[in-house]
Amino acid sequence: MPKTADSDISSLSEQAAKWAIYLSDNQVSNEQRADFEAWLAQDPRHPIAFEQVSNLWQSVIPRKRQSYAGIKSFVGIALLLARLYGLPLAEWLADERTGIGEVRRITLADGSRITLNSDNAADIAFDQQQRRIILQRGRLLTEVAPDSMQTPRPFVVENRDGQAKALGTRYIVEQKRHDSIVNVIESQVAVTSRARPGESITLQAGQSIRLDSQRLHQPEASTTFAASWVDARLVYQDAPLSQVISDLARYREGFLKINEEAGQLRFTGVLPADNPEAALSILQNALPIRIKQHSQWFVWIDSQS
Amino acid sequence: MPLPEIPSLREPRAYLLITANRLMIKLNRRHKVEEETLLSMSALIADQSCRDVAHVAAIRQLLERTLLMLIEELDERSRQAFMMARVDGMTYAEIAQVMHVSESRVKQYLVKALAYCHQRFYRIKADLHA
Repeated sequence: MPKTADSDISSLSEQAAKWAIYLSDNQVSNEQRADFEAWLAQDPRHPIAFEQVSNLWQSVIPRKRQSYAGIKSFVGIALLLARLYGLPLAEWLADERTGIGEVRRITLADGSRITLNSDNAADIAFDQQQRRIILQRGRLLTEVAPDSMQTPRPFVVENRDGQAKALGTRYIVEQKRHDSIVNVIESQVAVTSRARPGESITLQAGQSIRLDSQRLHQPEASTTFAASWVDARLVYQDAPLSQVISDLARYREGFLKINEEAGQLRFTGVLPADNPEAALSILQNALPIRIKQHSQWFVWIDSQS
Repeated sequence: MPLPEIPSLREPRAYLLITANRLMIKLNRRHKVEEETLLSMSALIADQSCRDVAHVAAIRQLLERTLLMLIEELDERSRQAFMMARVDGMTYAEIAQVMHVSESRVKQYLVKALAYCHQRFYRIKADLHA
């Protein structure tokens, strides 16, 4: 492998890696994009190498607040083998995670069920005192079963911003970049923020609440469609296209990029999250956009002008 | 130089188990990941015949672990940058701050790490312009 900073004489792997790293950045300029397309067209090996490198790069799904020492542990692989051989899930499972495009339902030891959204991470920690789910990233639907223990243990979903304690129920906790949202579908949930552990608000079915590192906001009417992603549908009401695309990107491997102008278009409608290609074609029919695809690993969305 | 050809798989599931077992052994002995293991891994990735969800998820997890072991073979800085970007999900700007280097330096570390993994996986030794 040549050790040089000059990209003109660097290896195929380095060139492909460079593009995967640069395109992973949030902002891709039109100039970069043109350079990338030129590079792809330059040599038939380029798109192949790019696809291979992208696949490697995206094979590791980030989890927040987790030291990496544990990931390559023996336990991890043993657990994987156990799953391949169809052994039942242990009562205590570290790090349930879903990959891109994967929506997974997990039945817990007590009969409760959780559904993890695409690209998600949660720890499950059950003990004698309580049933705890620690949401590291993403969105989680909880369907709590009554506890069979003599003294029923409380069921709590907690994350960076606070916790939501079930009072016998079905609810969703979603962690966003700066805050979290709890949506109650059935029964009641007591929500507490980390900043003020003494204060809690009890939400009714159909209510949602926003909490951040500072406080709990006022409860609001829950959007009817909050649970729709469980059925792998994405529902939008006058949402900016940039938002829609960033959601779709979570369900799809490869790079999905949109230019600024197209990102400001608004979309209202329902998209199938489990079929991102169909979702893209719906968007193309609904909005004045052009979708340009360079292999399945790089899709660029432009406004039509 | 053409890209190396990848053998097709007759028994993807058996391949998967063998590869997983090999990886476990490697992990205990702390040796370099063998070419053979990497080759069967790349065959698994390229194999399109099995679209079973659990199977695909298992391959992805194996690939993830293989990659993290390959990263161990790299120098400290590149490894650190890669771990922060992919495992901790930090942005390039955040990594630059922690490592006390520029963002473009972070990208250089990451390119190096990713290119190394790609070369190990696909055994590309020749230089494009050599």
